[in-house]
Amino acid sequence: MTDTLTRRLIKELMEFRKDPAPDLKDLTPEKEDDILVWKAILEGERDTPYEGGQWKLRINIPRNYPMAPPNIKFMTKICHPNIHFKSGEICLDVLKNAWSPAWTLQSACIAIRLLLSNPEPSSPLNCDADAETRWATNLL
Amino acid sequence: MNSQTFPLLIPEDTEGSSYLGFITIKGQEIPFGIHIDQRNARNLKNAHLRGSPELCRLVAGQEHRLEQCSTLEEFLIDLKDLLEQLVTKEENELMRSGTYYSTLLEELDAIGWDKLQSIDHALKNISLRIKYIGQHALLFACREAITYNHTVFNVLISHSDSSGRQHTIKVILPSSYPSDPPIVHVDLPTSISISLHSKSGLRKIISLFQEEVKQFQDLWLLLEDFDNHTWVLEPDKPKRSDLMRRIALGNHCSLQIDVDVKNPRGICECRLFGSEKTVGPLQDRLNKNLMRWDQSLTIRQNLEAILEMNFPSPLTTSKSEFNVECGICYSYRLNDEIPSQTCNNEKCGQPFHRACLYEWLRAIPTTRQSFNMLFGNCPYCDDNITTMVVEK
Repeated sequence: MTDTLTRRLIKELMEFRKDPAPDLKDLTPEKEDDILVWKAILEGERDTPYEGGQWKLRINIPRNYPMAPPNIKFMTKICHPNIHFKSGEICLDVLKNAWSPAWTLQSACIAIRLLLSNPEPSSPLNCDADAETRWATNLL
Repeated sequence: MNSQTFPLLIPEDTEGSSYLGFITIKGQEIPFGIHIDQRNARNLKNAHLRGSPELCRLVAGQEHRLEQCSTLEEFLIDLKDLLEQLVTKEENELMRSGTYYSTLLEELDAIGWDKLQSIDHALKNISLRIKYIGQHALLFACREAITYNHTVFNVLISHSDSSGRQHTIKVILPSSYPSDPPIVHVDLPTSISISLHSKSGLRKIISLFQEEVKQFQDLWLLLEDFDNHTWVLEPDKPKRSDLMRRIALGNHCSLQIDVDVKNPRGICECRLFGSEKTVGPLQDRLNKNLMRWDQSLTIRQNLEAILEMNFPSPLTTSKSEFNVECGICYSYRLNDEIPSQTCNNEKCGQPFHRACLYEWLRAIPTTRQSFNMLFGNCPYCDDNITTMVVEK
């Protein structure tokens, strides 16, 4: 399994380098000798409060990837209802039970970027930010 | 201790438990050391022999023959006897019997010395170039390694016809040759060795091979027509003995044929692979038009007419269009298996390895299993997908 895992990850890396998604500034293994730990740098979407910011993500890939989802965390502090302020943990269905091997590290990062502009107030990991979002929505 | 028999032995310590020296075998001095356990001086069962790798290799597995000795001198005499026996045996292996060489020389005489390209003094490496009418053949022989006791002959025949096929015959001559028959490895759809009897020499092998090759000309012509005009997915690198081809039809479909070696121009066995919706119409055409098979056409022409389509060829398409990777492991070949399961959804059609799809589906709580079939959802389009249980 390790061999096929490495092959898939190398293909994903090549795919990203060939055709990188906009706003995904970097997606690469953190160290040369460990392909199971990656880092990504997200850029905040335009016309959102996150515009102009850059967030570093750490991606830990389980041995049974792509059968199991990668574990992605925010390393840079971010204020968002679905992201834990201290641990950087992300509440996103594709990183949990909606995962399928059709997703890639790149598409998962894009999903996280979309989460920034479309928070899911129903599953908050940051209650203060969630309350603020609800307030803001109610006011509008 | 009789120092006359073993003058080249010196004690390493004062107790006389360790000795270093040389033992002379057939005029050759082999260095060795011996350590004796003094507590058990009655026999030398625990004597520990050290020496060169050569000595260790010779003695390996023979230690029991030295255990009976009670004194060091006896031990050394036994050791010398044993080593002499073993060395003589090895030399005999190296030098084969006179008949072996005379037969080989006779055969070379018959084949013709003018065909000889190179030879070494021990007749270990022989390479020959043989010209036939309209054909060139290269007979190449080499003794691979002494330990294997193999003589390997390779015959390369290049035909003068436009296809210029090259064939290789690998002949292994056992050390008891010519009383034991040679072992012949050929890349032919049928086995040539069955028709060989013990008296078959190299010349006989070559002529038999030529006969066989002649017989398969039409078969190879038909298969080469396939190889050159279609995208062959399997086998990866077709050999002359391969009668099966799996070709890409596009739309995640493939066709597998098995050619009848006795009647290559006859109707061949066909199997279609792919999603039901794309394979269905092709299967109908196959059933409807199979009667129109024309023996004067090639297999490819027949199949193209029957399926009412032109097969994607290397001239019009690139292989990457058909070499579609498995949607789970992202590779094409996984333990020699190619992605053979495809999603039946026309818009999806994503191929998977059976092992990968099974691995994914069995971990999903909504997957149902009935006997050895798993019913679940495609990881890509969420449409229904089924796969067989893969035994590990």
